[in-house]
Amino acid sequence: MESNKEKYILISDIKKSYGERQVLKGLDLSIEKGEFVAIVGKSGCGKSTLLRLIAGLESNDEGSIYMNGEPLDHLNKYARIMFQDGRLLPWKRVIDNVCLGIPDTARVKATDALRQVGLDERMNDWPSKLSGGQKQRVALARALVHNPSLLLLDEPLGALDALTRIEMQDLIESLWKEKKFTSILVTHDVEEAVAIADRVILIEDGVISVNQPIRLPRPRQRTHPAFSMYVEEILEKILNRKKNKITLVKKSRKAQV
Amino acid sequence: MKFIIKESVKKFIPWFLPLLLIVGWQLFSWVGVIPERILPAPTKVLQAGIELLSTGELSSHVGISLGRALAGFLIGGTIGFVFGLLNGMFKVSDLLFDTSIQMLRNIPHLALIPLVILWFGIGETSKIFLVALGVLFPIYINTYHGIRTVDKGLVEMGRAYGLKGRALFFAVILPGAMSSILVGVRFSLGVMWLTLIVSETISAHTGIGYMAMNAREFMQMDVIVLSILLYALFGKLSDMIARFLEGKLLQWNT
Repeated sequence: MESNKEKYILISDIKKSYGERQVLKGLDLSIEKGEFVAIVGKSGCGKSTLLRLIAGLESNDEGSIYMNGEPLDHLNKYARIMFQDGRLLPWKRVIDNVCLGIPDTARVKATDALRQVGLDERMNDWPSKLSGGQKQRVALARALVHNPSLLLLDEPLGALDALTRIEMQDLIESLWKEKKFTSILVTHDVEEAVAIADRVILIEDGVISVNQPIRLPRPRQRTHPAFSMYVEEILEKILNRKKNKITLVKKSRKAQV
Repeated sequence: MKFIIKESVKKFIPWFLPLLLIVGWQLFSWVGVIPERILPAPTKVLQAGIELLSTGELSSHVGISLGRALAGFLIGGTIGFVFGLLNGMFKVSDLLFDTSIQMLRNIPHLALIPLVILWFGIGETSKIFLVALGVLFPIYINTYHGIRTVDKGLVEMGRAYGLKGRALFFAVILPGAMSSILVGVRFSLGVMWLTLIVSETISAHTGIGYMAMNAREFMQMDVIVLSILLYALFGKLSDMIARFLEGKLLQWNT
């Protein structure tokens, strides 16, 4: 129990169902302070649900979540979440979106946060005038302005083009290094997970099936042989069944020959 | 080929048809194609307007009508808005009031005129009551609908970023519902004039509608036409007000 208290986030045996369908089936996970964890899995595997539980946006049916040694109930006050669709308020200018939830006196902080994501020049624009990548950068600034000790990322780069994604990944990584917050990234892109995280977790059938620390130096080179090995290994695990089927087909063909 | 229309010309174009109509009407009246007891010439109408203006009669009738319209709109609009907000946001209030409001909404409010006259007489109260009643429902329905259809994702985001109560309402819910609320305002401004015209025409001793009905007794065609034109102008005025509000409150949507 003593050692459990040192964990920043401790999740044990959580279950969550939507109607008849059980999405999480007794999942355990612990995360250290300052760690960058990526959660991957097929769509509908429950990875976003897990993130929403940690954010306190939904409640689990069974099991427990401890945050800094305290049981989590209702909203997670340490965390700020970034959504896939950005969720900027279209009727507030960029700067006012970033100021959301902070006192008016802290406007300077919002300008700083916008500068950090490279958008301080656009602070008086409406969100509708920004590109997808810029919107996500504003959303990132909005999260950072609260100085969260836990940053939750719910597929924030899912809708962006390849180049913008890599830019954003670098930006998130550098901000994480600078501010030393803990971060959990949900993504369907294994390469992204390996590029950015200390540890990649795979959720299958409502539990964690792979828990893979990535031991590569930062900044990570995507061309590094170990990099592709990690990606390959995790992908293989995700696509496990499919791969078996393909090999079976091949074998039967060979048999015919 | 591309036509480039100058700004100044653009401003004139919407007024082209009304102006053409008036010029044509004037010409036909001069020639005698339109007999005066059917439709007096625009110059006659204008003359009648100037005459009534000089006696102070016109401004007092117009002032009274505008006052009734405004009072009714404010009372009905406020009630509709408040119920729309409450029922849109709170389950209990929704369950308690929405069914009753929907039932009342389906009674044509002008059908209540005989009852209203018996209740309030033909004084100010009856007109303001009818206008308020007519304005209430469009504002209610659109406010209610606007609140109910605010993007749930944005509300969740607001909560996750520490907003609650008043702050959440003013930052997320109200602006999210605003475009729908303004549709209600625009619609109810139309209902406001319609109700006022009908109720003033049927029973009143002041106001533009009374002025027209009174003129009928003395066969003053020019005054009758003048009142009708005044209503057209006020209709345009309320449209301009609605546009102004939309431009101000939905700036981000352009």
